[in-house]
Amino acid sequence: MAFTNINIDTNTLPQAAALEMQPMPQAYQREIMTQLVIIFVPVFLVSWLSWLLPIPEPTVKFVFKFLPLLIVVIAVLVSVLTVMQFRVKAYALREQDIAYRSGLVFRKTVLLPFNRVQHMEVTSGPLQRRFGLASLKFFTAGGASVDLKIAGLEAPEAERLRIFILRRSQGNNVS
Amino acid sequence: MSADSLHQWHRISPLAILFFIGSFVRNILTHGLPAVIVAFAAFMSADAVISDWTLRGILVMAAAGLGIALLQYLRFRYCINDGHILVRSGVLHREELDIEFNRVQNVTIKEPFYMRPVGLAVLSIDTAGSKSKEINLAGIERKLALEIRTTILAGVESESATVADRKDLPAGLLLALTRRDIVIYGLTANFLLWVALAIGAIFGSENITEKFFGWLASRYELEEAVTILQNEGGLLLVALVFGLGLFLLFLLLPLLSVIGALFRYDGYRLTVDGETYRKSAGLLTRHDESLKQHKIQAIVWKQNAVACFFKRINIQLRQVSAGTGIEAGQLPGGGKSSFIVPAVKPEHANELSAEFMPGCQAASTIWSPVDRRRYILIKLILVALPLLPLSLLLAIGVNWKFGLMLPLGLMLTGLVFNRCWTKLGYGVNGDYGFVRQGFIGTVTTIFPMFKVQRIDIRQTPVQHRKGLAHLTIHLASHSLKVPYVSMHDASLFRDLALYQAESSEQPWY
Repeated sequence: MAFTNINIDTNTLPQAAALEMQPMPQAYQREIMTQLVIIFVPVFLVSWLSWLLPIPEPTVKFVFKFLPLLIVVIAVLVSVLTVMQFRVKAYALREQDIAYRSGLVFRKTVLLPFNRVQHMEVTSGPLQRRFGLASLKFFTAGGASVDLKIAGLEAPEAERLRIFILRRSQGNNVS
Repeated sequence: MSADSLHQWHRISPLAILFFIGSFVRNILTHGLPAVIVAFAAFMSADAVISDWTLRGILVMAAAGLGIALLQYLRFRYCINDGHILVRSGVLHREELDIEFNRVQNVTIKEPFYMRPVGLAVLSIDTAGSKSKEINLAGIERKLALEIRTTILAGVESESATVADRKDLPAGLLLALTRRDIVIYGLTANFLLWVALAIGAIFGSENITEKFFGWLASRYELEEAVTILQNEGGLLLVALVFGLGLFLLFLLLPLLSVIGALFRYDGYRLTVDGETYRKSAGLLTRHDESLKQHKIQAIVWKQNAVACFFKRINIQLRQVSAGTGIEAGQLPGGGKSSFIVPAVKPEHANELSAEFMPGCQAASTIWSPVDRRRYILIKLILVALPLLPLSLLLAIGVNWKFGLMLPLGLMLTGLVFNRCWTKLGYGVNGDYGFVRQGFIGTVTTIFPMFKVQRIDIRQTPVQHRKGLAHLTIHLASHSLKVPYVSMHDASLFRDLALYQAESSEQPWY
């Protein structure tokens, strides 16, 4: 139909859609939940302070009474969505490429062949370091910024992947 | 000049000062066009004080520009050895660049009119990479420039693996364009965008518009004319005359575009020699650009409404770009990393594409459409979302007739989207991928499957149920988005592209 004059038997092609994806480590879930706590607790506390504000308007003051409750509701919603989003994130390593799946509603799968990787970076923020995690960033040609970022990998795993892929990308690089 | 003497640091000719001045002026115009226009407006101001100070300011800027150009000339040195070219440049921001020959994207020899009489030229080296620097050796002898270019291109060639079979193919002229062809290209090109932007910058501010027309009127004693017109024919006549003025102004835009095209592409000649394509064009400054076949990442056939009318296609050869994927491909003329073959007749387009990409059979591609329902429906919903509250608001608040805005608007945009859908298509033919889109005209991208950099497939839960997906093909030059493809086709495309990219021995760059 759309595919004509193909010299390869398409049935023998390795299928990316059938990949078994590896979920992110549990430590990552703990890290992002900690991030949410760090954000919402101060906001929650500050919202209590709004009760002390000398606002003349009675209706506004009444609305402000509900602010802490609103914050709690939002925090719960965000947490639930974040956990659901975490469950979607997964990656898979093949001989010649890496796949990464993410996104709750807009589910995206990125496939990146090793021999197109120009360079990689392993970075680790302060919170990530506490949980023993790191992010692995991939850069290809023609992209001004990061092409693929896998956050929440266990630090030794991230380093192992970097070395593994680096060897593959240099081996086949004909530039 | 022997090869050995190249292994030392060399200076460029003092004529380069003119070149640096030219670059300085060009930079100001591109990055500071609004400032230039404001300065111009201030200079023309009736207030003598402002006018004077602006003049002084401009003179200071000119002197500074001259000084900087001189310093740049003094600082610039280059050296060639062992497959590297080293360049020391920069006045405030000192730079030492080291470029490997096989990182060079293409080499252009430019002959500005002020250098041609003395046999000098500018050698422009374009590199790929995240910084995408363009090195200019301005004011070196033309013969030396050709020598250096041959050296660099030879260096690039030796790095690539299996291109031996290309050597026995004939060299020769591929395309020579007449002045008429270039005029046609000028009419179809995007120079209009820049001119429109400039005009927009001027007329963007109401204050400036008023002042401008006020100045115009007082300068040419139009106030009387305007009052007379108003008395005779009322406001309508004034509007008519004003409209006519604007119309004439808009006729100016294509003219400027054609002039621009003639300056850039007059006497266009495209030749091939083994693996290297060479294009030579230009009126005042002769641009002689070389490109190796294996550097081409994709071919884009651009045919906008005007080009359709003239039955021509503008072909862009895309190379590795450091831009942000899709955006970089939309710069006028495709930006630096694009080699243009303008005003090609459709029958030649197929031939040339097979030349640039061996084995590419553009004519026999079978185009597959995307899912019509989802494509049009989702787009209509996106239009309806803002349109519905707006029309309701206006219908209730102003006049009930505004309620008709919604069905009419949807119908109109529906027709547009339907047209866009008929133009949207994809296909794989042999080793090449094809993606097409457009509204009145068409933009077709052809690329070798093995040059794919990355593939994204995106699905919403609804799309997953319906077996549809958004496919994004990332090339080194730009990215292609094909929405509402069947998941089966998207997966197959991905698997094919990955297989090709991972198993091909050919150099993709």
